[in-house]
Amino acid sequence: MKSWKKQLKNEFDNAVPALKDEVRNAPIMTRPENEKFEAEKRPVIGRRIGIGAAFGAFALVIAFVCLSAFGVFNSVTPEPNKFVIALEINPAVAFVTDGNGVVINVTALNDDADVILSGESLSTDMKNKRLTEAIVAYTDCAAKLGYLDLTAAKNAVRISGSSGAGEKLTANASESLKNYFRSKGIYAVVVEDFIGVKNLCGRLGVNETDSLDELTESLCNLSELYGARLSEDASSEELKNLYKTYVVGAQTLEIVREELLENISAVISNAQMVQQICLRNYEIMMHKDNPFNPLPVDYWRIKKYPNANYTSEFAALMSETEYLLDEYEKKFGKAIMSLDELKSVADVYSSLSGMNLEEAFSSLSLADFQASTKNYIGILKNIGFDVTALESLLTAPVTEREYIAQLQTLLSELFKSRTEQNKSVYEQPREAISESDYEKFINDIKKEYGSLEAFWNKK
Amino acid sequence: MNKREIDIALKKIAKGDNFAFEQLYTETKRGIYSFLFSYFDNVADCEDAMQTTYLKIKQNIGRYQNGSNGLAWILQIAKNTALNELRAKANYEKRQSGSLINEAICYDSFETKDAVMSIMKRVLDEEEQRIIILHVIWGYKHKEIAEIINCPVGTVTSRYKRATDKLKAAWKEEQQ
Repeated sequence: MKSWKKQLKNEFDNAVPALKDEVRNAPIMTRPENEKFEAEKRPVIGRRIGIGAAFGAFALVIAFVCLSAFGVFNSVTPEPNKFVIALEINPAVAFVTDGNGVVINVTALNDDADVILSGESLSTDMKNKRLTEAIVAYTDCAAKLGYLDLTAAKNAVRISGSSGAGEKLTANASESLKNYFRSKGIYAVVVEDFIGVKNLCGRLGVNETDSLDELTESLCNLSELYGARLSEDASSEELKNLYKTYVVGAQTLEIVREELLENISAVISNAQMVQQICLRNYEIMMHKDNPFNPLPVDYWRIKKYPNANYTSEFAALMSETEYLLDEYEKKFGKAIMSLDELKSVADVYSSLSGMNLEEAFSSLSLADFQASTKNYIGILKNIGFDVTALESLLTAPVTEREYIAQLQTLLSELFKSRTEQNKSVYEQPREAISESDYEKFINDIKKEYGSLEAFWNKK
Repeated sequence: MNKREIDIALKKIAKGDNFAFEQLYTETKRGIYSFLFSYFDNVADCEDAMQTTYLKIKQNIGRYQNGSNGLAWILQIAKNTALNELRAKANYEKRQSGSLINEAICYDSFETKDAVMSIMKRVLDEEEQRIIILHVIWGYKHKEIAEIINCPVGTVTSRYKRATDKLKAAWKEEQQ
């Protein structure tokens, strides 16, 4: 029986209409008007020179082709002295090596790779190492952070290099990865892909070129972090957008949500105690025996007058509040010293009034989180978390430098949080996979999917 | 086309590159069509919305912010287009109610077309169809789908499970 998923894809493929000519030929409403018509602004004389230059260039091309045909340039194709290899696990990264396969540059190709490269000293450590070692160090870090599903029966990574002189290097790196997977007991396929430099550019998201030298140069000139590259020359509006997407976006929500859910009993207890203290303080303020009656003076201001006379009922209320405050300090490591402080610890729950906290956190949408980020971080602060780093993300950046600083803070928080979350799975001992079992695993994949590439595409 | 490639294509389109637009169409047409499919009950409307979506991409590319999620931006355009067309259609039908025009409109219903597509229409509600499409066709994770359709991850997971169970059962029946 054919899988319904395959069938569905086929059916959609057959159903999709062709693009109508009116859409195909419709003009694109580009934004930068000044860039769009730059050519038209050139003076007539400039255009004439341009036409002359084009003829000149054409003549040169003809001359080059003729000379090539006679073998004049046969001896001047040098062996490339640098190579580019891309590794895609999901966090994708590009390595540039020298001619001996020693890593000289590492570039993140997506935001997940930024998290990996932000950890400890991995990025620096990988440089000057042989590619075979660097690629294993990177993959191991990805496994540690949960980007490789160590419990899954089938994983896949793809390693791509330009065809030609770099193939051997890519093949060695691939072999070294396979050995790593086997030794760690991870069932993962390594798909090798040798493609032309131009295609490699597309995969790496850099400007197209046919020259490996140009590609290595442009990679070496890029910022290592993908997120930092996105912010280059960004307008203040674009920075705001990036801030919303990447800094207080889904990843921050995940960190905060994980912590809240993991410490849900502490959060519930904190909310209940804050509520009790608020109620007691309110009773004190409104009590007929309040020494400052009719003024609604709070617990802390009354305490400043130790000689005030209390009725027995009011004294009981005061000591009950004192007990609650002591308990709060013991439990959460922070004393509430004034009505303002009480307000600030209570305000964080303002949007959650009457809700089941666990359900509210589990179903917290990105929009709701972004609307009250400060409150959710505040809850963590209430229960004793050091939220200095998270709080530094609360103010939208004005400059690119501020944005990158926030991004780095977030990445390092993500690194910590993911390491913690995946620690037990990563550290769980696994039996190494024998060569024959690994071979059988690969053959089974080929049988099921037709080829390793097909399996990769499916993943 | 992954998210990064879509971002790159959108940047190129923003500079007026029509070739990049065609490439974007080729790579995303199945996903967009299937996403729109969950909103409509006939082929003609779905196809119209599809063309309008791509036209709007060209018309609004100047508003696309580099670095924001390009795929989400495209899906948002598709969703708005679908909702606008449905609204327009509802108004039209309201105006025409009681006349014979409704009866004269001959919709090319999905029912008569393909097996799994018509099973989907028959056994799943709109939200379930969208979850299936975003996961199976677009390859989105449940967490990402939750953000797109703005509902809890747990709900996506349970609805996905329920939807696949229904589809599998109906597909099995169809095959027998």
